[in-house]
Formats: sequence, C-alpha cells, structure tokens
Amino acid sequence: MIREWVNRVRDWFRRDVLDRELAEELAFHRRLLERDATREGVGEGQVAAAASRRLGNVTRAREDARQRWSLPWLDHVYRDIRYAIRGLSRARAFTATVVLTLGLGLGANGAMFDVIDGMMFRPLAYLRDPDSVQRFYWQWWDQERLVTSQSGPYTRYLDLRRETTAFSQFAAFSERRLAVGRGERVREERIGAVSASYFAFFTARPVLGRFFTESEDVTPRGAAVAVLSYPFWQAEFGGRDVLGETLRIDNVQATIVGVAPRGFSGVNDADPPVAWIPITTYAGSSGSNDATTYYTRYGWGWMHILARRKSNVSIERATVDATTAFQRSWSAAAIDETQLPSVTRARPQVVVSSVRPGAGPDPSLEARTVIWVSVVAGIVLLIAAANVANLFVARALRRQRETAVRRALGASRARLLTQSLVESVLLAFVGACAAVLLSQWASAAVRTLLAPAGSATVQAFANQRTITVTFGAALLVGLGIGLVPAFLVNAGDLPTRLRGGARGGMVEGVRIRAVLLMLQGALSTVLLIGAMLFLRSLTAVTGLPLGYDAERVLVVTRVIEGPFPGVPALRSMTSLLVSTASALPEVESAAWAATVPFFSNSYRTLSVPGVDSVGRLGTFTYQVTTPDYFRTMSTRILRGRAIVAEDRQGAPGVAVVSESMARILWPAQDAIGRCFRMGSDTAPCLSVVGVAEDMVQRDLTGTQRYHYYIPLDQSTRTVGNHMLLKLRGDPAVMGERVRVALQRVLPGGAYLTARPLRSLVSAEQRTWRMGAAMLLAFGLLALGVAAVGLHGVIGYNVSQRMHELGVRVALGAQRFHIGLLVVGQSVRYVVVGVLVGMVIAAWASRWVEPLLFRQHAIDPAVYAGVALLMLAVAFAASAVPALRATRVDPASALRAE
Amino acid sequence: MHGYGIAQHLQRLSKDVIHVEEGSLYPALQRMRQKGWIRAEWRQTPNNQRARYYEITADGRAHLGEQTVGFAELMDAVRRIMAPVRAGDRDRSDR
Repeated sequence: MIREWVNRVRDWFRRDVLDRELAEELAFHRRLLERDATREGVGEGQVAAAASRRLGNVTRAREDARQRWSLPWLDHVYRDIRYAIRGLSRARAFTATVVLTLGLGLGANGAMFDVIDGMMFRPLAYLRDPDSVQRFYWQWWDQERLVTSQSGPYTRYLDLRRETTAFSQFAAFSERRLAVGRGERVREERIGAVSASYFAFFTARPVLGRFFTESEDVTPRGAAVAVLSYPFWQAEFGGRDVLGETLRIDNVQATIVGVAPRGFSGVNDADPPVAWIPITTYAGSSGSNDATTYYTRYGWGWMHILARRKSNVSIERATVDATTAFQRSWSAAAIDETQLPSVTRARPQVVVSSVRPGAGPDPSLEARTVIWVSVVAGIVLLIAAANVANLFVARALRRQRETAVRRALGASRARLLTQSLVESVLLAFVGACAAVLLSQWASAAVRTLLAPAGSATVQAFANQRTITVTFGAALLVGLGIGLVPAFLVNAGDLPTRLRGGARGGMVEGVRIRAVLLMLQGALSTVLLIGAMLFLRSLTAVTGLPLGYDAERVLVVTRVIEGPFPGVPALRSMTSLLVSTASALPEVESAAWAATVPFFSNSYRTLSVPGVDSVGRLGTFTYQVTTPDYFRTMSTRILRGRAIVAEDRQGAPGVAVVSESMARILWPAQDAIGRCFRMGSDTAPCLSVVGVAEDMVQRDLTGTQRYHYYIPLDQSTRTVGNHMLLKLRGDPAVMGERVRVALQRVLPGGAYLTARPLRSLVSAEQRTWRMGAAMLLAFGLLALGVAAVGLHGVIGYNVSQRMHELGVRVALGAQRFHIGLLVVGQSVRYVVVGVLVGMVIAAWASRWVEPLLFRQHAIDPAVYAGVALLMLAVAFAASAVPALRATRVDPASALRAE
Repeated sequence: MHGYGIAQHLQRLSKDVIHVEEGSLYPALQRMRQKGWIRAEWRQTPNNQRARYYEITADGRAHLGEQTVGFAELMDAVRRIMAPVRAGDRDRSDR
C-alpha cells in the first residue's frame, strides 16, 4: 500500500517520460499488428485499419494510464506553489518583510533552543545507552533550608558503590583547571580527574594507545598516566605518536598512554577537558593533607558520581536505594566530622537525575535565565507571527473580490484554503532558512555571553536537532498564519462580497487586525518591561560597592611544582616576590594574600567571648595578608588602623574586621580592642585593631559580608599563593610584562600565572549582563516588529478611508483634526495593548522577581517609562499615514468612487 | 514479455474466446507495476527493436497465488449455483 503510493508519487515526477514511453510502446505494438495483418494477407489499404481495430481506442488507453500517474492533490499543490512563488516574487516588499520578520522570530527561537538543548537535553557524544545514565545530586536540610550539591567526598563514592544494588556501573569524576606543561609554556587547562570506570560509560575507543585501567586508578595514589583529548593532541603535539611521552599536569609528571577520539568530551561538552588522569592520581598528589586522607575521611567534598541504572530498575527505586546508602554514609561521616548534623535532622537524600546539571534538581542561574530568555524568544515569535498574519489579512482583503469571483466560478473552499496555506508555509520555510543562518550566528553570540572568557568552544555548524525544530516551528507558524486570512476571506455570503468591492465586508478584517495589533502591543510591553527590569538589575549589580577597586589590580598566583619545598622556603620566596614587585616601575603597591575574591575563600570556626555559637550567625571569611593590602585594593579603614609591618610573629595577635562583622558580633559597641579566637576557644586571642569597609569576597548578591584580615607574619597555618598588585596602568596590557619580570626571580619548580581582578568580577556579573543584553535585544526587536505592523495597518486604514476623509474635508473638517483622527486610532490600539501588557507583566512578576537583583518586579518608573516609549512609537508609526491623510484632496477622493 | 506478446498469449490461451482491445492492456500493466506485482524494463527484441518487457515479481507471484485460490473458490461457487438451475430447467422441459 505504502509502496504503491511511493511509486505513484515517483511516477508523478516523471510523468512526462512515462507518457513518452507509453506512446513508444503503443507504436511498437501497432507495428507488430500491422506486420501480422500484412502476413494474413490483408489488403495494402486495410492494414492500418485492421491494426487500429485490434488495438482499440488508444486515446482512452493513454488517458487511463495517465490517470495512474497523476495525483490530483499533488498537481494542485504543485500548481499552488508555482502560483505562490509567482505572486510572492511580484510583491517583493511584502515577501521581504514577511521573510525578515519570521526569520528574526524563528531565528531567535532556534538560537535559544540550541542553547537550552545543549545545556539540558542533547545526548552526550559517545554515551552508551544515555537513558540509563544518571548523575547523583545530594540534598539535605541545613536549618530550614534544603541544600543541593553535586559534589561529595571520594569516600561517599566508595560507600555508594558498595552499598547500592540498583546500579550496574559507577564512575567518579571531577574537573578542575590545573597547570599543564612546564616553564614558560605552562598554562592552566581543564583537566578531568576520572575513575578508570568512567570510560566504560562511553562507546568511544581511543584513536591512539588506550584508556587507563583499574590497576592504574588505585588508592592511595594512582599511576602517573594521562589520556589526551583529540584537539589538545592536535594542537600541542601536532597529532604525532605521543605514547610514552610525558606531560606535566599539576604535580604529576604523567606518561601519555592514549588519545581520546575526536568529539569525545566526557560529560562536559560545553567546556571539555584537554586531558584525563586517574582520579586517585589527582587526589593522591594534591599536595595537602587531603592527599593521604581522601579515601578514608569525609572532609573534602570535591567530586561527582556517574552511575548506570540496571535495566529493570526504575528511577524511583534507584533513588530509594541510593538514598538509603547515602544516609548510612552520612552517619559514617558524622563520626568523623563532628559538626555534621544527625541523619534525622539533616534528612539527607539523593536525587538520581540528569547527567547534565542544567536539567538536574539545582540548575545554575545561567540555566534558569536561559529558560526565561527562551520564553521571551517565544513571545517574539508570537509577535512576529501576529504581524505576518496581519499582513496576510491585509492582502486577503485586497484580493477579496478576486477570491469571491473564483468561488463563484466553482473553486471549493478547500482549494482556496490549501492555496492560502501553501503560500504561508512556503514563506515560513524561506523564513526558516534565514532563521537557521541567523540562529547560527545568534547562538554563538549567546554562548559567548554565557561562557567564561576564553573557554568557549563554539560548534562549527548548527545542530541537526536545531534545524529540525526550526523548520517544525516554521511549519506550525505557517499553518497558523495561513488559516487566519483563509477563514476571513471565506466568511460572509458570496453575492454581497461580489458586489461589495474593496470596501464591503471589511469590518471583520479590521477587527481581527485591531486585535492582532493590540496583542503585539501587549507582548512588546511585557518584553520591554522585562528588559528594563533586567537592565536596572544589571546597573544595580555593576554599581554594587565591592569594597575594593578591582580596575587596576592584577592577581598573580604562584604555583609550586613537585615536592612541597617547606614553609621557610615558601616564606622567603614570598618576601622576594613582594619586594621585587614593589620595585617594578609598573607596580604602585603590592600585597600578598591567601585568598582572592570570587576565586578562593578561607573560613574557620570562631569563638568570641560573650557570643554563643558564632557559626549560627553565618560564615566568617578571612584574609591573610601583608600591610599594603588595603592600599592595593583601595579598601578603606573606617576606624582604628590597618595591618602594619610591626604585626609580626611574637607581637600580640591582631586582626582587622569588616564593618558588618563588627556590627553582628559587637552590636552597638566599639569593636576596637575586642578579642576573638580562630578555631578552638583555647587558641590565642586576636584583638581587633581596625574596622574596614565591607567587601565582597565570594557572593556578589549575598547579604553577609563577614570578613576579617590577619597579618601574614602572624599566621601559622597559611602562607597563601596569591599576590595582589595595583598597577599604574591597565592590567590586561601590563599584566604579562609584570608576570615575566617576576618569573625571572623565581627559582625552578615554581611558576606564576596572572589575571586581572576585574575579569573575576565581571565573570560574576555575567548572568545579569546576559539577561539584560538578550532581553533588551529581544524587546527592541519586538518593538520594531510591532512598529512596522502598526505603520502598515494605519497606512492601510488611511488608504481605505480616503473617500470618507475626502467627504469630511469637503464638509469643512480641519486638516489638523483629520491628522488627529488617524493618530488617535493608532494611539488607541497602543494604549489598550500597553494596559493589557502591564497586567500580564504584573501577573508574571512573582516568577521574575527571584531573577532580579535589588529590583522589584513591579516598578512604577519602569512601567511608566515603557508606556511612554510605546506611545512615542505609536505616534511615530502613524505620523506618515496621518500626514498623507491631511493632504487628501476632496475633489479627487470623491471622484475616485 | 512485451505488451504485444502478452496480448497474443492471452488470445492463444483462451483459444480466441477472449477478445480485448489490446490498447486497454497498458493502463492495467501500469497499475500492476505501481502495485509492485510486475517489473518493466526496456530491452532489444530479437529483431533489434526497442520494446518494454514485463516480468512478474515475487510479490506479484504471491498475489497471483491468492487470486488463483480466490478465483477457484468463486468458480466453484458459481458452478454449484448454476448446476441445480440447469437441472431444474431440464425437469421443466421433461414435464
């Protein structure tokens, strides 16, 4: 049955050939019959007639055969397409407007789908049976708050692997940026520390050598082996045989044992690692206490778990199974980590969910923002579709008489509907082609906005899925906008429409167009309000007092290779670096620091005389630094003094605290001279010598700013690895020169990396910047589309009303009033649209609010501003038609009828 | 076999009982080709003329089998229906 239809469609395409062949066949048959007749002795003149008699009615036969390879509906569609192409290529301006409008609308959606798909749904390359592979997310209650985390200690991995029954495969992995290479060529790259079982989740086979094995991934410390990614192998080694060569990764001198195939990026295809090393190799050589305790203790939560559900186990059962094991593991951890609440209080549970964190239980702010932006893209498409529908209605109205005539001549409604649909779908598909090109470019732009600078690996060509979805959406939109004018045109009785001409039966169309216009106005208003809210959030975020001036600060980080050189050696290296840096002409001031904002934090339990359990107040982060810190960072000391050179070992322990910390610990009292202890309550007392302004250490939008500073010389625990340099110029320009100058004084086995502090700050602001940029772009796009639509409709109305306006002028109407009449109509549409839009925006505000920063979702100033903008657009869009209306010549307008 | 051949063949097998307009053969052949029961191919005849040859396919053979069975049953049924009628006619004429 299906094959018959396939054959028929195929025959339809070669029906001319078939026709010729049949003619040839019949001619051949006729020749043979004539030969037979001759042989039978039929007279010379009778041969042809005899053959014809045998053959019968050839025309009938050919007609019958032809019917077999003609498909009436396909013929019609084909004719409709040709008709549509002819019509559209004549109406160039119309076609261009529609294609552009739909292209923008579909392109915006294609781009957003591409981004969302990549963040949440697209199956990972090479992943075997993706539906059964899950990532574990840990959840527990902290006070009244549900905490979700992806990372846990290695011991948790061992516990779950041992205690669960619902899973057939387990892998542990962690990705971090580590120093790769040595000497001058050292760079920080993303490295995957993965268990040997990790590769078994994928169908990938190494293009060179092998992946590492279980025997190389063992506690306490795995083998020094590495598998390279394909692009890294190509870029760094030119694709040569690298097996057996060594590559320094962090503290590990790793032997290269294999190269992963092209396109393999493990579970992270947004920012793929350049190489993989055994997870125990990484943990066992991390150079801290953790290196020896990571597989027995629970203190270091740093890695993720991938697991494959057994084929007969549901997600629910797997969750129960994993949760039971997690609770047992939690109890074991609580013995070790005394500050952990009990299982009954924390109620720990596992969420067995998507490998992609974007679709997991705790999506990042980026993922949530992207969802919102894609809703916005959907609205833009609606506006675009409404606009195009509007243009179609106008066209249908102009053609009303033509269609009425065709109906009267016997064309069926179905035929006219098909024709209208063919035209709109055709246009939508051309729009989709434009959209694919556009979304290609737009999704790269979105990803650049999303991804941290320098790490974006943008795909070369649009994804198959994205293209399919774009064309699917185009089909829907095409059908949608084709139906509106079709129904409109078919409405009303035939004789009236035949008689009525262009002005009769127009009311219906005008009403639909007015509704579409108001809808556009409302949606544009919603988008613009959203855009303004995000813009104000962004302003609030960027204008946030950081408590330091990041603009000219360069962060130089010291990385020690190889064995730990010992504290005295590090301290002397530190003072050498600080003194060298201070002497450089580019450097204004230099300070050593244990932590860097948005990069690392230190915090310890505090005990403060007279304050019960300080921990419940929040987290107190601290900085270990040298005297010039405050000058370097431009952080103001509000009371007391900063750290000075005299605060050295042996001198009384001192600390500078942030204003918020002073206020929460010693409310309504002077903090200067107070004492607190780090760690246990038997530790030496640190007396507060100064209060500094609040500063943002780790969380841009957080409200807790509890921070304190202790002198490096008095710290026994930390030496720190960062140097903050205030430069006399742009750190992006001078940074490398400074780094190289400092690198020269370093002994071997250590190297420096440098980056401007403001890049860390701006990375934190990225989400807001992205939200504001995209909403503003979409909002303006929507506004532009709506303005074009408004202009078109008002202009059309004016040309339809020329007669009426002429009469008015003839009866003595002022030109000014005529203009007002036209502008008034446009303003009326927009006012209704704006009001509806505001109601929608207010209704949606409770979902938008959490995405904003120090900005109410219902902001009268924003609402009023957007309303004014919309009104201005209404005036502008109707200005030209209004002018035309005022110039109406009553004599010619009246004669025209 | 080409169209002319098929026509000759039918005529010979039916002992000249069945006479069709031979042209009407071709629409039927087209239908069968589209249904996938026969295959068509242009070839040279022994006399070096170009002609389209038709050939039954596996599908066509299967279908033919079904049709043959169906037709046999039909003929059987027709024969059973016709037999008493003729007998009755004879009875009447005897009276």
